[in-house]
Amino acid sequence: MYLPATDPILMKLMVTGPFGVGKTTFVRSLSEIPTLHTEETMTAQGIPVDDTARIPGKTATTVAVDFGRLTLPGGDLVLYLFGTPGQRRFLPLWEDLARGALGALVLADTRRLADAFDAMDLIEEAGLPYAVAVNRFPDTPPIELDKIRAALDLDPATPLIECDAREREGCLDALIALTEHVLDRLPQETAP
Amino acid sequence: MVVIVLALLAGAALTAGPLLWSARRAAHTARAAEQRAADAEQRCAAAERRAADADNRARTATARADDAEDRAHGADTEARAAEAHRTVADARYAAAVRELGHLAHERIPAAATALNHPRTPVPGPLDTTGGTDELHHALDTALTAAVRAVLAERERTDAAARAALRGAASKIQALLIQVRSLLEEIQLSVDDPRLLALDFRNELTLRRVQSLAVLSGAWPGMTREDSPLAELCVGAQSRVAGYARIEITNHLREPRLAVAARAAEPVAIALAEILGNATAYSHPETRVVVSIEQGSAGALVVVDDMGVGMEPDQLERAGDLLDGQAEVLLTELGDPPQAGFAVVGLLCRQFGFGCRVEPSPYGGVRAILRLPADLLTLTDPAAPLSALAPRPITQTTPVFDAGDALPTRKRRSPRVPQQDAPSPLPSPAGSTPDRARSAWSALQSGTLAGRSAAHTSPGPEGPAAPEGVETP
Amino acid sequence: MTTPSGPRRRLVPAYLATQGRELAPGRQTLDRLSILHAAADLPAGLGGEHRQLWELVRPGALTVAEAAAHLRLPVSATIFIAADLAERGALQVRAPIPSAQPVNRDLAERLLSGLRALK
Repeated sequence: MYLPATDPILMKLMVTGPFGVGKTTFVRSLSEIPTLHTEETMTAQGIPVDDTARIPGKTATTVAVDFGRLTLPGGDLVLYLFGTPGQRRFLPLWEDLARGALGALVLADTRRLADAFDAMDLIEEAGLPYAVAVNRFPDTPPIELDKIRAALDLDPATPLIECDAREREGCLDALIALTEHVLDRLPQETAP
Repeated sequence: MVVIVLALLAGAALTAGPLLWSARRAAHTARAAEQRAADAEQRCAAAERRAADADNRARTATARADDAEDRAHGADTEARAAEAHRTVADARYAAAVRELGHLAHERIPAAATALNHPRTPVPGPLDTTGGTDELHHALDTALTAAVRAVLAERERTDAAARAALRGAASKIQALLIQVRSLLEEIQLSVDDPRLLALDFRNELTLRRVQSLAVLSGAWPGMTREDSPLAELCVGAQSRVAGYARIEITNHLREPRLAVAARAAEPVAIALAEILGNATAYSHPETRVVVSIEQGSAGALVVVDDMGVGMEPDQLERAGDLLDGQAEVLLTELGDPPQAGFAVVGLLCRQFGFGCRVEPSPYGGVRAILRLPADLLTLTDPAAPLSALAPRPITQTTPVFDAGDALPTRKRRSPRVPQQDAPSPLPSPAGSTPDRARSAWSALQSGTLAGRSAAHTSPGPEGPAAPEGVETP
Repeated sequence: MTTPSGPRRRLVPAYLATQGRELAPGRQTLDRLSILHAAADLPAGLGGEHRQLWELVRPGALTVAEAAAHLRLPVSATIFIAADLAERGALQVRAPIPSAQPVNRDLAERLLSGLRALK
């Protein structure tokens, strides 16, 4: 649970997207620590609070910041994954968390693609490099990545990957694609 | 007179005999004399008659005068008697007017004041000997009627005020609880400490509204689950303006000791009022010392402040309010402490716990909240206590095992009974008083290994030192 | 036994950790990724939540965000507790590295090879 004693460098990636797109699952698939999230202490907004009404189960939306940790081999680099809601109303949160982040991974659900627009707008405004990962749900119709790329008006250089947020391998691939893209965007170090 | 006349006539005849004419004249004179005598006789008789008549009349007048005199005398007596009577009546009238004035200006206002302040003396009539029984009876009846009218009107006004307040307080309370939820949610994602300050202000406001809700007969606050007593105490602490001065020491032997769901929020509200009084009536640089104790018949929360304390009559009034016996009217509650005690008293009566106040050994007031066994239960051991709730000072298990095994977070188990894992412990979260009571008595009897099972085993480094025991 | 329905309603608010203060003490600014590690014995007079945080980071370092999640407190409240401990010398605080260093190719390359090595 604890950080390596080697004074590791901490790096940060954002995992964002609309509610229910699988951010928590994605982070959980990769994290070496139990995914820390605080939603269990949360209450719903607008719940009935009159005398007699019992609350019919939790109606809260998960606003909690899920985060997970991934210590890279060697122990001198620790990657933090922050799963944050990508709605514009969470802009302050987004700005806070995105500061110093290497890049962002946008999770999208093809059945409601438009829900991801807000998150992408935020990232683009923040000037953060990003990749889009389409989370494949069991009932997702066959995905045609080209059509999605067009619909999202993605830059040709922006990676678009398909993955299953429950599977570690695919999640890692998504992170690798994102990191490659980050690297591409960084200026070449000029030899002195 | 007749004799005299006759003698004169004889004398005249004798002397005037020689003279005839003289005789004739004499005869004539005699006749005239006779005539005059007859006249005289007639006149005499008439005079006699008149005299007799006058005499009669005089006698009659005398009689009448006597009669009038008698009557005058009688009238005089009567007048004197009447005068005496009138004086008495005047005196009574004046006395009655004085008594009425006294009733209107002194007795009725005093009786009305005494309804709110039982120690107000209500004066009796001014003159207990002067008036008649009837008067005093009538005055007393008037006084009683006036008091009854005041009471009825007061009750009516208060009921109307309570109804109006109840509606408003419930609405505001619901909104503030929503604000609380929103703030709680935002705090998880936004790290600005001003959100914490805002949350605190909201909680202070909510407490005010909750106490008004209780006073107006609305449902107190919100429903809760069985709630650990230590959390309830800290929760109550958080609702008080001077909460940083409040030091809570947890002396519970059983850290999972909890207040049953139905009384959880009422206990928190009552305790917040007690702590509110303690902080409001003590110097801002003194501590308010709270001790959570586990007795043999229940649990106690003892609150001591180092303020100026209360006068015996204030203590007595507070005791009446806390017993839930004293009638509580909104119109009586100008004073914050009285509102506080009234709230506590109402909750005590409704939910079956108790509270009393007495002089504190610290110099201020000591309030003791008593929670009977039937309101107590045990919570699910899987549900961790808030990090901000004080651990029992006798509990030696560190919160996080600190050995070579890394601390791990336990995911909360759903709050459903686990059929396949029978526990020797009484079932937590007893939902009925009976179950709670049996859980309690099982715990008290010490026949169960409840305590050892309730604690996680200490880590390899051994138990951590107990938290510093605050010696007050 | 009935199962209580609905979310458990908050009883203990996080602002208690501020002890009435508007700002956390000390000059060091803590944020989500500041790294906390116990540095010395727990000073006398600090108990409760301070002890819990101190015990939590005694065996090893954690970020504020992780510590907060373990304590089940918001980051903002955890910062007050950590700052109290840091001020008394009981806690070592290290500034978050990502914001201290600009992202450079070297780091990104190390990350990339690290991720590939995990496969």
